[in-house]
Amino acid sequence: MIQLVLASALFFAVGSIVAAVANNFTMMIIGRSIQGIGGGGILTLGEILVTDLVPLSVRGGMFSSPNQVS
Amino acid sequence: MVAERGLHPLTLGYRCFFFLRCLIIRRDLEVEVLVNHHPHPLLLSIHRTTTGICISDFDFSNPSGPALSRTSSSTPRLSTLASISKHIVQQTLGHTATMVDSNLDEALTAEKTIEIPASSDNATLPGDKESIDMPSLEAATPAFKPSRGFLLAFTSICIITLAAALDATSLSIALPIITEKLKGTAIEAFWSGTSFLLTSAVFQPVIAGLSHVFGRKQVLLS
Repeated sequence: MIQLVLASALFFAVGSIVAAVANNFTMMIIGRSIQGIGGGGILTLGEILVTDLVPLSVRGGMFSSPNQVS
Repeated sequence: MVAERGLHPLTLGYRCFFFLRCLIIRRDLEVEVLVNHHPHPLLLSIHRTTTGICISDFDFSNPSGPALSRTSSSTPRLSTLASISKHIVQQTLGHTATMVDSNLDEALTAEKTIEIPASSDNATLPGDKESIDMPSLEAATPAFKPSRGFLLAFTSICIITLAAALDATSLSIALPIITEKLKGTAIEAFWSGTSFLLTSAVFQPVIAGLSHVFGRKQVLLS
């Protein structure tokens, strides 16, 4: 699990760098796609982590913070 | 170990199959344990719910309502139901046994005609599983006290969620300048926003499935 979170963050960082240093739109779209892999992983794994670690009675309150910023 | 952890498609498929099989076997096993090792199997009440058949203890304080004390909401297969009826008949005496038997047979045929879609083999509904796990969860952790490490990790999760969500939405503000500097067309500018959302949507279930494969049992924060 922690490897997947770190891999998603790594994908996000690599995609951000690729999209930032792009000289044409092809490189930018490739970078945004790599960023999308990481972003999807981050959004999903955040919810899965909260669901795993927090008991059911307080889960709604703990879900409110990531949903508030997203 | 490395070969087991790898992403060979056969390994992945076998693990998915094994996971589903474990779920199904566990559901039947739970019903059988509940019926065979119950001190008073005759007091088990079987009633139908919208997702299947619910077998539970009889609630003495509220005899007319549904039993709630030890509920095993499950969707047993018809073979399991037949074994349950056989067991109940063995525990009953004389002509009452035949009466119960015929009644149960009628009930079984009624189930067979009405609820065939609900009692299919791969009935691993997430709501059902959660209702099985719910009492043990609440009994195990009555009060949740988040530790300091948990709150720090939770804050970092919030921050990277903010980064991912901001990245999906804030491109459109910078898009005219980017398109002008990179000399792109309108379709390319459109696709730079859409490709993020597309790959994000495609990879969300994939990564959720990978987290099943790699396991979430490591004690990450406690």
